[in-house]
Amino acid sequence: MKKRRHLWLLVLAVIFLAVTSVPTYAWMKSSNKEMSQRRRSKTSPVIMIPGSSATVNRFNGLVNELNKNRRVKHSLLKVQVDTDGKLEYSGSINRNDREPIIVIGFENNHDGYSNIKKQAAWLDDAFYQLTNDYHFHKFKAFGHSNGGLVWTYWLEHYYSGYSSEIKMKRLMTLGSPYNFKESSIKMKTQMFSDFLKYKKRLPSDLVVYSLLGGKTYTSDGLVPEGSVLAAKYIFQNQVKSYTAINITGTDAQHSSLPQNKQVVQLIKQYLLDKPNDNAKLHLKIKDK
Amino acid sequence: MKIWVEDWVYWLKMRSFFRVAQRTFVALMPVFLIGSIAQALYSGFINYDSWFYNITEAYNFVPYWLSDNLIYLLKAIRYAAFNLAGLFIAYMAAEYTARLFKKDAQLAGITSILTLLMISLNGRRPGQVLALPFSGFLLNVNMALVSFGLGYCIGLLFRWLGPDYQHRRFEHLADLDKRVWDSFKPMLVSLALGIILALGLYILKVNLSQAWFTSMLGTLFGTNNVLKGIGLAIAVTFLALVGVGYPLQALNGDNNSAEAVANMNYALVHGSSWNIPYKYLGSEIYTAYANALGYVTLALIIAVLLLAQNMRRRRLAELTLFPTMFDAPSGFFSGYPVLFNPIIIVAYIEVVVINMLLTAGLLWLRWIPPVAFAILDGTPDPLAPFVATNGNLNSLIYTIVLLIIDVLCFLPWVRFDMKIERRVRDNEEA
Repeated sequence: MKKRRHLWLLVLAVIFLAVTSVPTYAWMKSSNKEMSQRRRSKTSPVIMIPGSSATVNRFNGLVNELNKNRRVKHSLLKVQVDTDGKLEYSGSINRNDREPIIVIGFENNHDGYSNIKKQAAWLDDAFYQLTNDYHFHKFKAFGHSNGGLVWTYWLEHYYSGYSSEIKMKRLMTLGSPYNFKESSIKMKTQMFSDFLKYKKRLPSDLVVYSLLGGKTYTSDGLVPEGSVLAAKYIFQNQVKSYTAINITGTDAQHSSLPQNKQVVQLIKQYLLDKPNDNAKLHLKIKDK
Repeated sequence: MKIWVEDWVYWLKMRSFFRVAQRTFVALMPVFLIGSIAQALYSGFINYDSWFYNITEAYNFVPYWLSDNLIYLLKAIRYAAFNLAGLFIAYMAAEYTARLFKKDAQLAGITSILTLLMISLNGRRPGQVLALPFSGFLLNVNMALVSFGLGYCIGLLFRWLGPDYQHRRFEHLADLDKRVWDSFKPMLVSLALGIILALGLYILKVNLSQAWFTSMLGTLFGTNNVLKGIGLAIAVTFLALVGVGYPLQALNGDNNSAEAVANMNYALVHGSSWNIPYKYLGSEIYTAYANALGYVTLALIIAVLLLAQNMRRRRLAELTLFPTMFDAPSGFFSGYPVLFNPIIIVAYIEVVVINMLLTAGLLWLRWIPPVAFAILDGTPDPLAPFVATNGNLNSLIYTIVLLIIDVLCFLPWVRFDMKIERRVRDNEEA
């Protein structure tokens, strides 16, 4: 009698495994299918976030500039996240476009640290949906003003949930005030301290460009230079590389920066994929 | 010849070190059993990455607050059982050693905890106000070798320096007072040794951390050479069974080596793992088919279930069968005990080598594809290779056949171990 009991336990274990193997099999098939779709996908979008008070239309001009003289135009998808997390789409991604531009804006687009945290959560809602819809596994990020801060907050608090599957290759911020209105890092705002506190979570293979405008010698007319440059304390020695670029001349004022000719050039040069990036990758795989 | 081996093993097992080890770990079994059940529930069922949570799509109907709190609770139990286990082990080891030599066991135990804490002092990181200034490295169950060794040594110090003492049922306060004063000498010597060790670590800037094992693991994660893989697999298994569990634990974590990632990318793009670039990756063969944390221990537990006459062992095997299926065998390791058990350690190494060689052979013959696809945390070991090959039936059949082979390999060893143990017990009773 006693001897039978433990043999029953073995039978029970086998039944348990047999029963659970069915949903395990289903999970495996769907997960591998999804993952392989993602691996095969050559789409690598640029996702842009405008600054405070701006809408999803903020970058229309910039995208037009980027599309000038291009045979294959970047398609433009605009996503607005409402305060309740609902997504409103306008525009679309062309099926053959490997580098679409996606602009994510927020219904509540106000300034301030508490709003930036909320916006990062909304960004995550939109990002999650986009990864499910488009199956990309790499992307580039661009943020004007507070948009750069929202990206940074998202990187420190949300990115780890995706990082094994989806990679942010490059981040470009444009006039992003990491220390808000403070021009010296001796006065640390709460947000800046938090960015420093969690900087270890930033991905070590990320390439970061920080662009700043110079209207006067110390500011772009709105944001102090010291606040933009404070980014180095967050990124330097943490990401793969961090480069700060100072832009002066026409359209170097904070709000004009997205239309600035130099900015357009820098985006083309540093943020967008080179036309033959994918071709090279293809050759590499073939070589094996 | 056989008699000679038996006598030698018997002699070995009669050494105080092994007798104390056996008692220490058997006595701590309940702690580790509870910890391993929590661990199995956490990594197999409740956590967001876990197997059962995902295959049942529990995220659709289990509210977030419930999972979140359950995860917190299970992590806390696991932490209490494993991350500070060194303290219990050091106490028990010193206590049993002192008791074996008829010395004051209680104070030996306390001294041992004190000394362990002293060595764990983390002088380089002052930490926050509420954080304890101790490094968790030595206090973790994964460093049981150190906490046990220390406890044993302090027990020996009490043996040499402490006065004889017979534990009695009722102790007058005056007797207690005398006992405490009598124990001062061995206690001070132990603490002095602890301070010297702690200072040595501090002055030499020894950073107590897992980094010690990184290079060994790096090789194991990345090697595509079967013999090298087997050598390292033996090392990892042996270390785990003598109480250094960090390498085995790390091996069962995420493998993000360039080779494993290349394998997975290839498999995902091509839809099968037959032609991946690194077919004989030591870490993958080990974790799928020779894992001392799950698969191999499962075979041993089945062997014990089939053989054990002894009620204690059979109940232990029954209780630990399910946790072990989810790579949480600590309850069994300590209750059997597998830790510091020379016969069972040899058996493990034999089985690990057989499994790795057989698997490499079948990979070479192309009877089974290599494992390369991602699997969920806590996927039961008998299903894991099937999932990791994207549902290859040969792999499933091989996993089952191999488990039966392993059980058969373990049977003579378990029998031999029980025979020796009977002899030890008879001797102790006599």
